[in-house]
Amino acid sequence: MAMNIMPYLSNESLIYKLDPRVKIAMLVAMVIIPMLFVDLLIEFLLVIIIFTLALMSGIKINVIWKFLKPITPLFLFLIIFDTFFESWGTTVFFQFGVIKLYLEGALFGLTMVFRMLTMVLATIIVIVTTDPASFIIAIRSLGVPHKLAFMLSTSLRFVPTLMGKALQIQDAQKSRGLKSGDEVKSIFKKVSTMIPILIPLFVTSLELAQKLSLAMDARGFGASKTVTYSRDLNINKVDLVFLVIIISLTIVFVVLRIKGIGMTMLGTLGMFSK
Amino acid sequence: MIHFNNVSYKYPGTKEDDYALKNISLHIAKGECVALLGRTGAGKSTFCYTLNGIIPKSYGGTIEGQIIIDSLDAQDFPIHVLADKVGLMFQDPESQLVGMTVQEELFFGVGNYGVEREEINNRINWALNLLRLSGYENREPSNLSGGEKQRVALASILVMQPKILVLDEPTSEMDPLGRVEVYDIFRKLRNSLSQTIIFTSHDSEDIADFVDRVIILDKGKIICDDVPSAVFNNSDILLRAGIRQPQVVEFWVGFQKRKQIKSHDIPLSIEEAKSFFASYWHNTRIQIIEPSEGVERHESLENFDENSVSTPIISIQNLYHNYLSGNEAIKNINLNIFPGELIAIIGQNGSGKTTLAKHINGLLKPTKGKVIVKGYDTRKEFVSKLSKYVGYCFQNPDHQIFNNSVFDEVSFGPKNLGFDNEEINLIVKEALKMFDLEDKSQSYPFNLGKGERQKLALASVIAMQSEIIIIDEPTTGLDWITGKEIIRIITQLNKLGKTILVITHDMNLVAENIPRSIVLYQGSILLDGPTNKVLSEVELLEKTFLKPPQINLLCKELSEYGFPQDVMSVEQALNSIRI
Repeated sequence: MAMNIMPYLSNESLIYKLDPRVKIAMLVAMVIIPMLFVDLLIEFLLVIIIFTLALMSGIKINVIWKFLKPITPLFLFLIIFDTFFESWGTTVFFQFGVIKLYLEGALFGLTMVFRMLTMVLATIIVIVTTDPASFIIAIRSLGVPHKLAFMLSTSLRFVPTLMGKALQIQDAQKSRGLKSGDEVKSIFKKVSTMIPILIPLFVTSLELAQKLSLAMDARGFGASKTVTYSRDLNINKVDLVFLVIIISLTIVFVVLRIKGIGMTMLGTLGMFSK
Repeated sequence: MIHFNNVSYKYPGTKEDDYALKNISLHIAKGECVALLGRTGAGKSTFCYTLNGIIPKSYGGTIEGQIIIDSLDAQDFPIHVLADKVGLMFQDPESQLVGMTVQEELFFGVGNYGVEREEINNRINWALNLLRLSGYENREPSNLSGGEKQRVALASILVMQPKILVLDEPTSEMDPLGRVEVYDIFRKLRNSLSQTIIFTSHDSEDIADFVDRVIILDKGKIICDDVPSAVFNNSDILLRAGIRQPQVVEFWVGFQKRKQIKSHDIPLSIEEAKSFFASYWHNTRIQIIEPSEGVERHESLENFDENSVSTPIISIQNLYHNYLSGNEAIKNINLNIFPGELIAIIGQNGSGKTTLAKHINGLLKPTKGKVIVKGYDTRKEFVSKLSKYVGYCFQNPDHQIFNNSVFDEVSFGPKNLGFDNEEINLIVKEALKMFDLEDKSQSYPFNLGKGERQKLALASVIAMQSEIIIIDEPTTGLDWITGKEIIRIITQLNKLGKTILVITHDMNLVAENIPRSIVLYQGSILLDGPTNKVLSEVELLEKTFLKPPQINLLCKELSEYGFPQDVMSVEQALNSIRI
């Protein structure tokens, strides 16, 4: 019954109160900065920063884990996959016949994981702490046309609805004797058990979309050029402070990159060990 | 305010003469409150859609004749101009909510017209109060119950303050008292704002005493357009259009026949009926009632107590269920259900009816306590195994239909249970016959009408030959005739020995057909027993937004004349009068 796919969390934390546009800026910075470097230490530092930010915004560890759990296999795969390659260094830490595993490869995999982790954590912070209603106003005020902004927010609104429908359909078909989950062993059969769920889901989604557009017409969507929004967004001092921090951090990292720092995987680590 | 001049409409892609509306001519004056009644598929929704222009502008199709809305020719203006005058609430509450929160939802429509924010906020507060939604501002629409969604959808139209309100089955998913509440709002609006109100409904009893006018559609044509007292006294028309006569009227008509009197003051509400009978008996000074004489007891009620000797087919012991969010959905449920019982599970939206039912076929597992079905502990069995013993038919048929033919659809369940082809052939034919769908066997299920899809869904569950059948809201949104047909099949199955549980809001259905009722309130059992006893507990029922059938309430009001307190049908009430 009550389920939250987008666990928007209303609390009194500093991050929660930030203007959504500042949070979008933070997200953009946290996607760009990790891409600038291939340095293990810098990427690790970024993870620490963003993780601290996540904790500051009052997000519980188990919420973070709920998001991360589905992608951990990918992380593990990245690390293991890279250990087979000698392009990053030739320190062999395990050998079995012709198979050699390289330490540098593993570290490179780890660097990639840190990179992605930063982006994922930043996204989690934005999703969990931003009231979706103010989100649409934010992207609208950034110059996105009203109709597009509205479509974005509406598709968010229908994520839980469609998930709910999928569950209801699954319940209905299981009640008709459809086997599911652990009962079905072979992959092929698993796929075939999806059909009785996917077809009704597809049909109901289409119907939903059609009815939704009628309902929007019926309430005058696009009637006037001056749409009234439920609130205005105001940048306050705290927002400005955060914005300045985000911009200066970005500049610092860009300068580092221009100076050629962090372009090798163990570069900064090497600097310390000297 | 509204003029229709010989309007006909055909949906795109339909046959030459397949008109959804045919030769509609009418005039609705400012401030009128009009109920639009008729069978499922009679053209009620289509009519509503022509009022703000989404027919034909969004739907396409061909329209003939002229529609004038507030002195604008509907053909010449875009939807949003008409939508400013005509607020349309759709039938399906889920798909018309666009906002992330209730507050945003209410803001959306008015916001589109650029109304000042302060003005909008005032209107929103007014609407939230009116619809008992204060405190819901930040709730997500997808987390609300069907009835709550309908209240939000209605509020979102009301804040637009259109001159004409058009509401397509605005109360279909509400519990009985929730419905009464909404109709009270219509009453208020009608008296205060001089808005024109047009709505479609199947609840003839709740609306008879306040609407100005009733229009009945049948196969796209207006077959009746009159004041309620004339319409609801016209049994032929009502039968033809699949509309239930209000019980007070039915009782009044039957009473007149027996007493061979004629009166023209048709009572349309309990109050009116009460004063009619009060003055009748007062004037004639005849005490005509013998308490409980002639009151037939329900057949199955007689063996109700004997049941306790046999072993229960379903035994629920100390059952608790918490959702992942931590909400306690049901608590401390103890329940024994015996083979061959026919039981109604009733209670307001969100009282835990479906949660309880889902434990019986193992879709939900107990957080605490246990559920034993046919000797199996549901905690240890897969749903697919339990489905051999428990058939579960959900409310929305579109959530299960996926095959290319009606025949394949019905055979899906039996196939899963491992019946061989010959058996399946036999079973499916039998199930289709039961629901009068034989000639549709090779039809494409998605092309069937709503009532037929509902029947198909039920048939495909019944074909699984399980001893226990759970049916969630079998009659919601269906017209009275189709609903009655489904009830007939349910009682027939019960006579064949099936144990059946029906989840429903339809109190008349329960009272007239179902011997045992279980009332849930906030996740616990509030009442459990013979239906006539349960439905006589008016105050307790009110707590969970239910009310007994109209005839029962009327008999209670007439108790000083000796009417029994536990009357469940009009027939019973009439039988208790000594001729």
